[in-house]
Amino acid sequence: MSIHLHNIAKHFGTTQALEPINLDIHEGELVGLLGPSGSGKTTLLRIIAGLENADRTAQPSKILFGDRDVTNVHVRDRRIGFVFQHYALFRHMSVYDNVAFGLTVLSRKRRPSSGEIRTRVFRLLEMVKLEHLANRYPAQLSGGQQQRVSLARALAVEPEVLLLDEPFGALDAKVRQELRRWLRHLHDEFNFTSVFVTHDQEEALELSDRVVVMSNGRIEQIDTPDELYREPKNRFVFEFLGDVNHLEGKVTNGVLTCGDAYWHVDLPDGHEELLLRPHEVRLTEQPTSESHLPVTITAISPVGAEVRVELEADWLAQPWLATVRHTDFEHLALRRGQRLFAHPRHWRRFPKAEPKATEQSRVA
Amino acid sequence: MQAQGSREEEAAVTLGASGWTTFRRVTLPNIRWALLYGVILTNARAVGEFGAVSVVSGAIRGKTNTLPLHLEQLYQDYNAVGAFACAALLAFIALLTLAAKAGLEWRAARREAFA
Repeated sequence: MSIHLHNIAKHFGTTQALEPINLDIHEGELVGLLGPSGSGKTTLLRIIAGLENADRTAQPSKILFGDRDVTNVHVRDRRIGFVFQHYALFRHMSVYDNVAFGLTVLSRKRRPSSGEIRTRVFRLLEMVKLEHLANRYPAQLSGGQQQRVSLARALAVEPEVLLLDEPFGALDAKVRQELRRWLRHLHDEFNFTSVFVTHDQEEALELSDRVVVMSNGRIEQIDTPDELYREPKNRFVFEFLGDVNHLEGKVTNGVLTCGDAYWHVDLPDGHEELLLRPHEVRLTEQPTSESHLPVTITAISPVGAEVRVELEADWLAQPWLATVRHTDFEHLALRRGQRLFAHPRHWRRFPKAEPKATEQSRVA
Repeated sequence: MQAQGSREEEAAVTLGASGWTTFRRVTLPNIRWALLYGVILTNARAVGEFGAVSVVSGAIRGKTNTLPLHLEQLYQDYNAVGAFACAALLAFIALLTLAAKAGLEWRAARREAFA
């Protein structure tokens, strides 16, 4: 079931939580709404669910599920599955009763027989691998288990649209990883349309078919994770998707200078701010004719496959972060306090003057 | 109820429950112990109240009288047997209320240890 949103806006008091938004989500897609807190992503999700109403403005807003206009349809009739951040399980009911809830509240005509409810609930519990805990109460389960129950409960009513509000936010890293993979698998198997909210860029990039990046109630960019990372449309998207190093200075005759550091760049004269990712910084013991960017190592932390190195210098307003492979790390024999030279491999700039910045980059 | 928030109610509604069903199957079970506790405490207040009722009700026998006021009237009528019977009844109700309250508190403590 595809989802079409047309001209959706939302006020809370005097704050504009959402500026008028249009969004199309295709059938069978898994879409992530990504943004910092307060960006309006949860509000948007709740409006899709019908838990919140969009503002009534001069231009009418519209929400379509496939061809069905659900703009004025109550939540309970929208046929959605909603998974809450803090699970929102019914505390006084067993796991079994929680999952069965959506089926037992159906009108008598549409309600399956109790035998059928039983088979369906156990099939769902089997799917989330919790059939042995059917008689437990939510308080007796771990966070990950509770979230799985909450998912099974949402899927019991066979929704066409599954909405998840920061589903893995409150779980530890390992469980989160496991649940992510499992959700992806589930999505592919059952082929419903899913929308989930997250503030974790890694989660959004890993899980989604397409990511909607939001800030201040606006959609900044909608793209596949790959394109989003390679071709961010603006500075906000670039900075939100990972660590960023800033280099600010004055360009004269193709040389950018900043304190005692200089660097040859192909840019017109003027004040410039260049951005680069930690993996785009190379470290060497000697400066080159192209660049002279002296830095001092202030911290070293080996994180998994690479080593993160923090760099400081007089000419830098904020410390830089560089990621180095273990082989390079050993080769250079990096240690704290060591003085080295940085070489940007690749950089970007997002000129402030033009609102629709054409991204320029260069491989050095 | 405010501390509990409306998350569970929202969950119930997204699962297709009507307003009445949500109240009966989600809200009420969550507040039932607090509700019962409130009833018991109110009962204790009602049994013990004398002054306010005496001023407001007028204490018409068989119409707007309460047990504590009735006790006073019996005593003033020199009906010592009746007055002491009423007093014993009041004490008995008080004991029952106390037992119910203790029982509820014990249950709550056990549930907390359990959770």
